[in-house]
Amino acid sequence: MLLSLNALEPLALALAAPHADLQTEFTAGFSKARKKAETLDDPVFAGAADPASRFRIESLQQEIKDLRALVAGELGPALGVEAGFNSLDGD
Amino acid sequence: MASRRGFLAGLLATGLAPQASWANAGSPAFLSAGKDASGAFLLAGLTEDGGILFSHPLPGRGHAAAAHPTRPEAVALARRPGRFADVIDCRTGTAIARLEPPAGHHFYGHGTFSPDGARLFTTENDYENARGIIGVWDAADGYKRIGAFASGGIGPHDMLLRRDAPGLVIANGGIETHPGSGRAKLNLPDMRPNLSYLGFDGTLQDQMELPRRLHLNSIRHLAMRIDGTVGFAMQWQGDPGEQIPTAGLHLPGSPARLLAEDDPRVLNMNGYGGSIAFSGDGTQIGVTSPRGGVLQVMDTVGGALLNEHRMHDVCGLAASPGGFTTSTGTGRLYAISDAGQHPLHRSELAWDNHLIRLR
Repeated sequence: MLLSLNALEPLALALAAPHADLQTEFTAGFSKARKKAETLDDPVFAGAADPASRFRIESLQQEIKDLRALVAGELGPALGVEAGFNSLDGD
Repeated sequence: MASRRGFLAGLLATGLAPQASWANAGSPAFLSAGKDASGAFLLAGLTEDGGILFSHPLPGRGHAAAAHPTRPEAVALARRPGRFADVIDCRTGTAIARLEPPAGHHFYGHGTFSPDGARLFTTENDYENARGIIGVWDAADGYKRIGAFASGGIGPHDMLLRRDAPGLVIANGGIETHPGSGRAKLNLPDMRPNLSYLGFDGTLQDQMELPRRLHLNSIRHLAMRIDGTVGFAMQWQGDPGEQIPTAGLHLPGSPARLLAEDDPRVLNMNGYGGSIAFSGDGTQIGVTSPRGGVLQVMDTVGGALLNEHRMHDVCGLAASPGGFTTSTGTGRLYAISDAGQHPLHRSELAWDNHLIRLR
């Protein structure tokens, strides 16, 4: 997980280069996710069955989902490759 | 030569039927909400092959629409959690009224008229009390708000007129939302979607709940066959990798039937049924998934998946004489038959979720 985060952050930042606010959002998002992954210290998510560590795993999952939403909702349109009007709708 | 009697009969007829009809509005085949190239939202009336007959600006993103059964009036409903419903004179494109739900409510984007056109019903969220509500408006008197009743569940979304009995059928999606937390879903662990059959006074006549293992499958959209069979489309809130049906059939008094449940191709829907419609002859039922970019067509008798049609960002779906008509977020309409898909008119705008058939 950490490996993927570390690999994806420079790519996201490079793609967001012309948009300083978006870069700031990515930096903040990646740093939050990285911090949670480090605290968890459980690379194969072995603790998923334990309620306490499952809660922390789900919290990391939420950070990743937020990053995905940032990519689909902000980075995509900024690059002119917006996903569908209907496919993003959810209604 | 006109006889005196014929002349008088004609006079009488014009006197008895002075009301404007849908013919005065060019007899649109469909209504659809959309977004134009400048980012402005609108409601449009379309011909059978997708040409635009009229277009009316909306103050925000629309969702579905309701057409008055006789007068050329359309109601464009705001996408949730919007608070406008614009009644439009489709002959001129002018606004007749703007409806706003009571404080503490928002619209879900669907509504329907009573068969006689005297009432308009709208699905609403009473969000401080987490209650699904059906708002009642007097379409015979300036669209005044005249009442409301419980929808039979949380998150009422699509709503249609019953065909087997007088009343409404409502898809209660089961998901609690509050505008204070955007579109976040607040009750997934204990959501319980249902189909509720209500009289026009709100009396609960029948209710269908999915089996417990499918309680995360939010029932959102509906189709009605002439015999009263209801088609329903669902949106799965659980693990995206699970093979879950997105469509089913229900007739009050019988258990629901899920369609194409055992066909692995249901995974192509990405757990998301966007719109649902019966084919023109009622033998097939189609479900679109904009997330999967696909329309799946099922046999209503055996429930088997017959055909898949790939279309980018497809969502709007309506019956047509040869099968179905679809609309897409890229401005296209397609005619769909067993033989395949045939592109119709393309407009420079994005068609929103639903294609509402008028005739």
